[in-house]
Amino acid sequence: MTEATSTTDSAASSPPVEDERLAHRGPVQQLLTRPEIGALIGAVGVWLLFWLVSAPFGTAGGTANYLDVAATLGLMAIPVGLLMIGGEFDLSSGSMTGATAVIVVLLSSDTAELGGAGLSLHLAVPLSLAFALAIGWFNGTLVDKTSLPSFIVTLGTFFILIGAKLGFTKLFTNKVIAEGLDKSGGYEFWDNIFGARWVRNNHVWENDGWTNLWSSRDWAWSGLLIIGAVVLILGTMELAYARREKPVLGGYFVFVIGAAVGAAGYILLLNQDSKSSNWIFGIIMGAGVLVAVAGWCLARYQPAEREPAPTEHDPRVIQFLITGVVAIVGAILIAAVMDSNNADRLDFLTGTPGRAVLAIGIGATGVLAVLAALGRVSVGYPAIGAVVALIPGISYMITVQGARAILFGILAIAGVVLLSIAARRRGLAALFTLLTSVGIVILAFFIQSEAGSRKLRVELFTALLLIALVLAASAVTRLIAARRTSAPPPPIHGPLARQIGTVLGLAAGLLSLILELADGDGILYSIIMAAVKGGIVAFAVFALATLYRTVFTSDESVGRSLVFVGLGSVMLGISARLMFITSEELAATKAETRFGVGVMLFLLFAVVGAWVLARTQFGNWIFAVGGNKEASRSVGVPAARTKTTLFMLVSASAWITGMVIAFRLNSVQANVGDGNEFRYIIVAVVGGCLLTGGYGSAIGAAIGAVIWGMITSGIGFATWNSDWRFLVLGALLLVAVLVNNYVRSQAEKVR
Amino acid sequence: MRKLWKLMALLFALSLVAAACGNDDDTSGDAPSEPTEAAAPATEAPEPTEVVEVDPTQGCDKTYHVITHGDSGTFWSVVEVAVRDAAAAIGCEVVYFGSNNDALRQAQEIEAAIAAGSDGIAISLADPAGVQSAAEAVVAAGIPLYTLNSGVNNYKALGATTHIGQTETVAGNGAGERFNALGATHVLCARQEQTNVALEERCNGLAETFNGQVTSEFVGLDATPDEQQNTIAAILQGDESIDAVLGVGPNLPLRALAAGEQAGRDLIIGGFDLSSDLIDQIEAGNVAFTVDQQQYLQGYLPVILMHLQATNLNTAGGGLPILTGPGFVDTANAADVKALVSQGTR
Repeated sequence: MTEATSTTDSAASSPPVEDERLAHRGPVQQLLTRPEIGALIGAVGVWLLFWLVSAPFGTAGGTANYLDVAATLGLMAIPVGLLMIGGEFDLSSGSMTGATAVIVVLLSSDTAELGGAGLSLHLAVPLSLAFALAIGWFNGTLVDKTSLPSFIVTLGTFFILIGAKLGFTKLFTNKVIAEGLDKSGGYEFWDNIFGARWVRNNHVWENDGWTNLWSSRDWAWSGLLIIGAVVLILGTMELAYARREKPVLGGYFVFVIGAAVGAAGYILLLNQDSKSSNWIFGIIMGAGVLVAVAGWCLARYQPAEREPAPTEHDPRVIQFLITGVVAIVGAILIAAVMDSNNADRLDFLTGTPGRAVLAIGIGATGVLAVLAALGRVSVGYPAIGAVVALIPGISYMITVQGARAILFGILAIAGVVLLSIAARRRGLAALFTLLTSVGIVILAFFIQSEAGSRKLRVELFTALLLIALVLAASAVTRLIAARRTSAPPPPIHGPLARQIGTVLGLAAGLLSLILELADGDGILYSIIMAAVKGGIVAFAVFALATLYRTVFTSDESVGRSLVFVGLGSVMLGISARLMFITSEELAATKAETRFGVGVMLFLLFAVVGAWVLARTQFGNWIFAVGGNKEASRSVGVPAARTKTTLFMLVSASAWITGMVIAFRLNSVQANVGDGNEFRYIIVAVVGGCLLTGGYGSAIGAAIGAVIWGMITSGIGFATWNSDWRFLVLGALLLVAVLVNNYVRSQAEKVR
Repeated sequence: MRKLWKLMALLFALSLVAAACGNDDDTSGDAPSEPTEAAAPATEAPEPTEVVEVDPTQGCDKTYHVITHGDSGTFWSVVEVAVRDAAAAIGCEVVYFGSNNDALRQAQEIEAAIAAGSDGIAISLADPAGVQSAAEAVVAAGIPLYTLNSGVNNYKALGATTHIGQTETVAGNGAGERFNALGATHVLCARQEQTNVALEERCNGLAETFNGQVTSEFVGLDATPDEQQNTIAAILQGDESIDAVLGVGPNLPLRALAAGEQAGRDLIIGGFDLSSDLIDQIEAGNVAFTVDQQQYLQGYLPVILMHLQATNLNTAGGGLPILTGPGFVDTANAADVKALVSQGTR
């Protein structure tokens, strides 16, 4: 998210106080005004929920599963999102994915046996791309020339494609399925491209333990993760706090000592598993980290003025405080009875009591709706009745474990949020943050002592402790250092480092490409892997340069680079964990975890889409034509060309998606993809794209697709009743959009 | 104004998707899952499908009519072949007419058959109300009436001699017994539609006869095959006790096969209806069986039975429907069935 402020500012509107363009916004505030923030929070929440209720969801296999669902959705949702930012819709995008697949199968399959045209795939695949691009061009040109709304035009192509798919499939094969792709000429070559995949089970990275850290997967990935988190925090501090003219060297000394103690505490904590030692080493680690943070602040940042004393007494602070404490205590109680081994169906409010609650709920909704219509009560009240009516449904829908996890999550989050609201109203944010982190620590130890499953006892415990630590550290910083008051200088990304990184990255990528191709891996697969490896090399050079700038220069713009490096190494760590298997794990599993070429392309699309939107002229054109076409045209944006390009981009992605589907299934039913255009639009909206155009994000659309994937797969992993699938999906999507809306409006209000 | 348009666009898209979802039935399988919805509205203007005249070869003076709601898809083309074969066997003239889901055309054709002095009429009851008066006129005219494919609930009330078809529950029962024999303990009944009565009945039928546990879940539409595969894999990993999957369409068994591989599980897989890929997998031993409703019988038997009633006063069925399924395709007969599929009789 290094492009945090570049393009979205124009869409944000708030009354200028002094000159809001020059006002400083802290890194957190910048993040909160991003379009994808709601989706991001939603994604984290959904992941946590399913991770709590189901054992396999958080594993590499589970991740591959939901990423795979997200990939075919996201490959389309990202370009559809761009098109929506450009102010248009493409209703033909869903059926286009199936159409390209059907075309390839029909063109290539054997004439005699399967009723196709019998062309070689070397001809059929490019022809289908040409077809897709032609339809995209047709859509764009027609929309531009006629000035008709794009949904009317693309609705026409939508129906034409559906009809043509079915008609031609039945005409040629006398069936509704086009079959026999693997019997076509050139199949091997193209299957290497679109059917390629990374099979985790074939990539073993041993755990050699202490003796050889580099050849140990777990040390590598957790090391990358921790380094990434630390760098990320440093970068955030850099962006938020005012620099000293000259660093105080004594502070660095304190930092080094604190960091050493913290690291030692962490390593000891990992290697011990008794309750008493956990307490001791946990405290050592926490103290070390806090000392390190304080030292770093002393060294680099100006000392803070004291926090302003609360000017007036706000009675609601007490309410927030009490409710927050009660919520956290409730979460602790629920945590005490949580156990993921318990997967029984929930059994409350079924039968007569359930019907009674349902009746009460419906009745209350009706009465409250009438009262609301008469203006006696607020419009929101009928919703309460509706929620009551829905309660019996929960018992049919999910397991005991699921209900506990949901309650636990809601209460814990509500508690923290309420406490922080109380803190802000009281003007004692730092103090309250410390208290909150104490609350989280208590929660963590309760789970550790009570939970039956290892996942909760160890993983959730560690995660909660780390969260508490970060909270406490941020509180300490706030007490010690003064915030920035002016906008940071524009980022200078170290041109020399960038050049060296580019050259080395290209070289590494090329070398890898040659080696992979020599190994006989698929072409597209080889290219992607080469790009990944080249990217890692370039990233490493950039990271080293950033490290140099942080320590040896007084360059104030280093904060953004640090955030970028931190995020990058966190992602690298997670990827290493997901993509490599240890022989121990390999022996324990029969399942084969694969990441298809679709998943890699999906991630690539997300990155490229974000880059195009934030950093290129074309990205600015997209925002401009979506905001106001005529105005953009009059300032020299080629509006027609931009929109037509976007339509063609959508069809080209539909072609890629169609190929991925066709080469996976080998046979394509005529209705594949129909109705999906709706999903693409939903996913883009969840990711923060506005239906009215001119605002949105490619990363957001990608996150939206991942949310969709996590929910559809997660319900299966959690063995919840699939009859309620769309209810869960709908509720969660609604929550994501509402959170998005609320958080953004709050963040902009603060500014 | 602009925003209003966009809003309308969204509403329109909604209704569109609803329409598209509704269409799923029409294309839900090679041999359509629900016979009453078998005929997919094709792109060309709805014109009545061709009338097939079968020339008498043995000097038979009887004429029979088979008038269905069928279209020109694979399913009904097998029925049509069966009607022609039966006509050749008895040597009489048999007229086949498929109304392409148009109940009015079907009713008109039935009335035309009465006027032509038919000796026996067999009809399908996809829309019982639409053809009711015409069917009653058949009985009133003293012409033997048979129903085929769909209409198991209505044939008696209309006065038909018997019904030739398959009930979904019985087909599910058959699948349950198969799984018992194969030693399964926990079957996932995977559905490709969330609110299709026929598919639900198949799963309920399975639960009736299967001795172990049955979990019935919607796993995603045929329009999103990758989601189907991943959802099945997720359910398998979420519940370790599942050792068999019944996909109630021709595509799902293939998705279940891939999902089993993904989840590292050895599954007993069953399916419904036929497709080339499915038969290939059955032949390879990866899919245990598929349930086949043998629609050839639904074309062949009514002609023979009408002929016997007209010439020999036989009434088959004894007041009960005659079931054409469930027939099974498994490793034993997959190779033979494969040949028959290309011959157009399976």
